[in-house]
Amino acid sequence: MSKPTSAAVRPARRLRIAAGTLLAGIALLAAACSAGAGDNAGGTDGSNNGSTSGGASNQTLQVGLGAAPANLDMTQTAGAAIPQALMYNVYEGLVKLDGKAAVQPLLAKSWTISSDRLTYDFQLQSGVKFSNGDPFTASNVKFSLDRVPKWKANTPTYLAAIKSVDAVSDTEVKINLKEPDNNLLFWLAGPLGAMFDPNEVSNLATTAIGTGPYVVDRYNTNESLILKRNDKYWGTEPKLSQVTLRYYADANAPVNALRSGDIDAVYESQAADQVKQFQSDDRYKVEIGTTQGITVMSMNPGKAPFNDKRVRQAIVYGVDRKAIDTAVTEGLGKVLGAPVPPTDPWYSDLADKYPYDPAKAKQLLAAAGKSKVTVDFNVPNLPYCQTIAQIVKSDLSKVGVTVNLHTQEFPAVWLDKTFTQKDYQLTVINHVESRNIFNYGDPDYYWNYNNPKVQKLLSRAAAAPGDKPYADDMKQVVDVLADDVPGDWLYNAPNIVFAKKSVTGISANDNGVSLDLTGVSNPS
Amino acid sequence: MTAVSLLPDNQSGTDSGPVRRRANPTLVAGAVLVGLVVLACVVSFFWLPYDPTAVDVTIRLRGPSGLHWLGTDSFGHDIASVIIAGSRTTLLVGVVAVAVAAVIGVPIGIVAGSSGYRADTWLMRWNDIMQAFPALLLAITFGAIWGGSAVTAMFALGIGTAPAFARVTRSGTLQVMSREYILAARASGRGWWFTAVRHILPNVGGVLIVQASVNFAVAVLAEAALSYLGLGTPAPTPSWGRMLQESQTYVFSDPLLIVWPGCAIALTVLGFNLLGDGLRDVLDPRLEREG
Amino acid sequence: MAIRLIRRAALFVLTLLVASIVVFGLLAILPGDVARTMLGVDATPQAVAALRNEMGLDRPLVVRYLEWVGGMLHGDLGTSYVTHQPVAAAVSDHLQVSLILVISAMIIAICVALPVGVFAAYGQGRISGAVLSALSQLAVAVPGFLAGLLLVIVFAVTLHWLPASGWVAPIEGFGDFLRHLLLPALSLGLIQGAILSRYVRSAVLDIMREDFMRTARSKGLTPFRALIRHGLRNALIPVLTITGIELAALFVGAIVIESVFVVPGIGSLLVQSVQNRDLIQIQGIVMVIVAIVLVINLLVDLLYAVIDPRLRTSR
Repeated sequence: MSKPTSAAVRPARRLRIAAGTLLAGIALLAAACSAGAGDNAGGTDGSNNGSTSGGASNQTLQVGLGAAPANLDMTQTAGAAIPQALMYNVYEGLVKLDGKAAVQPLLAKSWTISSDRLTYDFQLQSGVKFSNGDPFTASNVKFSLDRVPKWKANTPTYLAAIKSVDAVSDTEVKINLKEPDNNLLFWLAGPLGAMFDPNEVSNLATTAIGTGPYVVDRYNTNESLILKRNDKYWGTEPKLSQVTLRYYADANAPVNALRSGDIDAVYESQAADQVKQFQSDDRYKVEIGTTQGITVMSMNPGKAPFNDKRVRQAIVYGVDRKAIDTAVTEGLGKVLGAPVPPTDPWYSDLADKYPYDPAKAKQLLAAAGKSKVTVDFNVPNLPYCQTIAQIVKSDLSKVGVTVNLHTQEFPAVWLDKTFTQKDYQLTVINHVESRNIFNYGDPDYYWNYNNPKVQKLLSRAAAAPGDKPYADDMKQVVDVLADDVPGDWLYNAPNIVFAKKSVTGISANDNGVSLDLTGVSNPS
Repeated sequence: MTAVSLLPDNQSGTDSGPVRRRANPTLVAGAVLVGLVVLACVVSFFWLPYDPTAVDVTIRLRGPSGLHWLGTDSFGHDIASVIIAGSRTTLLVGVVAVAVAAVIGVPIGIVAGSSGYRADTWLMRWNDIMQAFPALLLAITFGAIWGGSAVTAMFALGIGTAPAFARVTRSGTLQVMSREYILAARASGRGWWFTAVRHILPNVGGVLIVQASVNFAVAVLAEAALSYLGLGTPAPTPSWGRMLQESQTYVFSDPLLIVWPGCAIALTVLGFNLLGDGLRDVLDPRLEREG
Repeated sequence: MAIRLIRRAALFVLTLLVASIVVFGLLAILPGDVARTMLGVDATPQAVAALRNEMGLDRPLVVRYLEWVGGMLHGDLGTSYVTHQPVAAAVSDHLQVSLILVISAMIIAICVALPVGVFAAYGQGRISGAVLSALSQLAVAVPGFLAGLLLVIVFAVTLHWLPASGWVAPIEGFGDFLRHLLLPALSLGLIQGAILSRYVRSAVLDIMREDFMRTARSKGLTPFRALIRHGLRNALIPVLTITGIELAALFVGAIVIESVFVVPGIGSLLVQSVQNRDLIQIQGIVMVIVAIVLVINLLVDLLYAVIDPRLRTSR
């Protein structure tokens, strides 16, 4: 009975044959596929085109990010991901925002504002060229700003105050306004202020030519955006010769990629629960800054029972925002009480205006005659929204409010049903666009908030004589909103940045426009 | 969500006809595991240690203790309660997926197997399309129309796996159709429906039960996969798939959060697969003929 | 023979046509709108309407359907509403990735399943067989993304042997390509191998009961030799069926592994396109997948005939 031995020998040989077949198969496949993949593989070798400018470094950086740009055209496509990658890096405006969301010069060296605040006179940098070699002059400013009304995305109406743009000389441009607008420079620092080359606007979805320190080398849709140093850059040459922005759909993948050494940093990480592990690991550094994001649970004032201010206030008392902040951001976010991120000049800490107080909530509901009430909550199918919804449901059940959760696919279904048709009682989303407080002045917005007092205050604020009166007016707006609570402003999300120790210069504070790579270095 | 079974496994001995009268160990193991899930489901309607939807962040991320046997998750949910209550979702998901697949697939299979050549070809072409059409697209579409939930997704999965039912039914029917009593029944002028219900269904019943148990396992795995993609059971309904998805970033700090639902899913899938294998041994008519 | 080929081709085209109607109809009732989705929360209704008009989405369904089918007849799948790039290019890029991933996974699966299945059958009633069966049963039961996550933690995060995620085309560096391929292919392949091995085992057990195997053994062949010489060929038929079905299912079914490992396969492209409501791209992807599945089914049918001459006439 020596059969088992022979049986044991043969399969071993079979296995070896099988393994050989496998390798051969893979090699064949790879050869077959490499033949077809040639057209989309334009040099990723990281060489910096023989740049001879004194001591140009060959540092590279790979950053992990969240949602990917749908394409490269921010004039026709929404999403913070496009300006995040392109603004200040590829496209530049007259001015830019720093990490504290304050306006700083960029293509404009300096500017003066007339006493009636209707004319802005910009002195431009000279010798600026687009990355394709075309010169940048005042005529580009006129071209780009005249084109803004054609934009469909990124709220072109923010620059509606502009009456005309005059190119005075190659290096001087005047912007004339219909009415004073204190936000003009702020919006010019955003995507709407990007400067374009008239020869390169026919195919913005796939080509991006700007005056910035980097050029787009390649965009692998939904995967990675490769930026290379612009050797013709007018300003200080960036330290990085190549930056790869990698996009990850879930929270775990980028931190695992950082841990395994595939990438150098993770920006706007959603893995708040891993902060402690990274902090205790001396190969990495962790920075926690602010974002411009306002996570708001909107209560539709156009629908019962939320047409009653007392019911809205009861909800705000009845929902434990601190618990939400803990569950979503491990307490790293800033609990809010108004639609203002901490970096805005009119911010004041209103987190304790409505402390978590179920008894008070019940009292208000009883006063409104709504002791037992059922509401529908449209919840986007995003992880943080699902988390918030569970806590809201649990909290509100304790004050007599039954919340029915309806999950909606985000973005398509939520935008269709909740945003466009305004068919909701409760909903929640993190608004990442800067200064969206101005939408409380738009009764057609999905917030459905129609308060003439707020509308009047907002337009007065925009035209107020100077920064101080502007901020004062805005504070009044905030006070009215915080009393009226068309929404429960839950928290300002933290910007969590994990990076290898060698990476420096990434601003932990997200200015809401761009991940500014100008001053980043990575001497690994 | 990929496994589609045509030929379930067979654990019975080669030449062991009489021995098979003993309890089949595979069947017993499968039945015990599935029984546990059913038991958990029944119990959950009458008693749970804690409310599985009650949030209390002051006690979040606690390890196992006398108070919370399996600990608490990032919301402060009692994990044991969520696991027990999650069995409802698991069973519901499986029942819906299998029922939809059977309701569509079985009639197609019977018609294909018992009718003439032409109908057979057309139905099998239709089957090809259903098999080729991504069930995922159906799942997303249904979710968008009727609101995202595991049940709507399982309708899609049921439609997607119906071809498997059609195939086994068809091959079973073809075998049955050649036997004398069917020919006799037809010769005596019995209607098509009579033949199908009276003779064909009982004969393919065994294979179908086996297929059902295997598809049940597929559905449980599919729910977990859909949850990972954000298309599974929405909050607050307790679900093992969503537990996994919600706790995946805690894999380094609190790995137990992933272990519990992972084990629950794996054991349930194992249970249904073993049950299918065991049932095949007991029910497969071919084995009876041979034994 | 020629007639059969023509019939087969006609059926193929007809099936595709039906699939095109099904997918177009399904997308017509899918809530959500590509223009609104692209413009997000900071665009006016007028801007959305203008974009819809530019995309031609305000024209009647029939016109759009005919235009799309007409384009396909010329080999043109259209241009994505979202990326402004040809659908055909996006599909072929992602399909290449999926082909490599799925076929390597299936090769791994077969390499695992044949020996494991045969030994499990051969070891029937013994400890070795039971252990092998139990292992494959367990591997089938683990959710795919959990298996992937565990592999990442062990081989990428802890051991630093392999990258945690990403994809490198073979032409960009073959070594890098293999390193990126290994973990996702293993995750898919091992689970598929476990599924397959159960069918191999079952098929081998069935074969060992057959009369001709008894004859072979009575002629003095060891059970194992008898199996290799006469049995395996027969056992291959059901295994082949399952391999074909699994292979077809994996093109989209690998989506979970694709997302865990951030591999730009066709499944990920489909999900992204659906999220963007990029209708023309979804349609293109589905048509290509349907065509591939049909081809696989056809190949499986042909292989039957090669493996088992008895089936040549009956099919």
